[in-house]
Amino acid sequence: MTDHDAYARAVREALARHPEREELLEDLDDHLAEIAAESDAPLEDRLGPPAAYAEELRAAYGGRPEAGKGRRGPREIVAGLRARVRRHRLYGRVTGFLGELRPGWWVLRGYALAMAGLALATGPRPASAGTRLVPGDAVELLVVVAAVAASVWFGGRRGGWPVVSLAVAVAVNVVAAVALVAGMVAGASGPVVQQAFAPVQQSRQPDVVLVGSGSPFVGDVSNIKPYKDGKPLTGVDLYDQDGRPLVLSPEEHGFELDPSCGEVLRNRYPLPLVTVEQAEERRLREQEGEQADVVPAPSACATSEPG
Amino acid sequence: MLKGVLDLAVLAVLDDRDGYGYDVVRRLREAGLAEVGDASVYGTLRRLFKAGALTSYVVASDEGPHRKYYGLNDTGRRLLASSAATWTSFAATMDSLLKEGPHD
Repeated sequence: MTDHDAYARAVREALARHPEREELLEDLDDHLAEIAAESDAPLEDRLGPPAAYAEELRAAYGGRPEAGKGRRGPREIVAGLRARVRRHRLYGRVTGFLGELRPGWWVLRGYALAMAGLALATGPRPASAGTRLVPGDAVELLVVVAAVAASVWFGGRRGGWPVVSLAVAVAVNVVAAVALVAGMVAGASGPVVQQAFAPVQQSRQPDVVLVGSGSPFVGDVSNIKPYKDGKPLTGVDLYDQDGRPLVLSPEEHGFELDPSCGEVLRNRYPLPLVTVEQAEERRLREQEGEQADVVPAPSACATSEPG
Repeated sequence: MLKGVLDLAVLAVLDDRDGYGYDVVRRLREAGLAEVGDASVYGTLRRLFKAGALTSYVVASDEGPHRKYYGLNDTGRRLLASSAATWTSFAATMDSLLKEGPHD
């Protein structure tokens, strides 16, 4: 295949949707062959890319009204549809309503951008702190107020935007919308996150620290087995930095404290755990008065005895 | 290039003598319209032909492909005359504007 064949095909493809393609391109091949015959340089170097050539052709052929008494092109069809939509009764109502909503959006936009900006400025926060949706202190509040004021001011300015500013304005609005949605999503899941990661951060300080409940990282921990020098330790009491007992909730994992051990300290590890079925069994046996011949589970109550 | 001027230029070139696409491009460039685009000329030829201002006929050539020649018919000549009149008056207006301008 010759250079001008390929070039002609590319031009045809670029004009595939032109309503008068055949008339327009009737002797394109001969024309391009003529140009190709004159020089050895590739057509693309001399005429530019085929797409640009096709666009120039289209402009020269169909750009002026006297040329077109033919069928309607895609642009005319789109323009016609647009005009019909604009004439529709609902269009006026919807655009009017959206217009009334605009000041509300300006306020929201300023707020969302300010909170997003603050989140970025303060860097990554510990997950335990949750997602911040409201200003934390006076400075942040000031930033938010200023951003809202600026957003409203920008919104109130009408007309006279150069094209570049318009593009920037659209981009800023999109960013604000994304920040807003992200904030709402974070807000919706916020409380759960706080509880899972950081019981300590709750306003009411609990007496014990629950470990391994709900957190994706330690969710599978049902017991703790301390070792020292390769030997298992028993009866190890664990506390957090503030002296609060560290407690697991083995019940979430299908275990129970061995009922035959009586009262056990919940933070003394390893816990004497049995499965729910075993626990049930033992309780039954105790009720039936069986005793001495029952051998407790290996882990069992040794931990709560001095040893 | 000003809108509509290329039409006039192509009509003027063809009024001189008939020509095929690339021949018209070459003659326009030789006449001083160095920047004229090949696609623009080709598109203009096809549009003028469709509008009924041009006749066309194919001529076999000994080297290379067949050539489709374009020439003016009566419609084309009338179009040329009216466009030329418009252009002349426009050019005269521009001339006088430019002459007055800087000297005031």
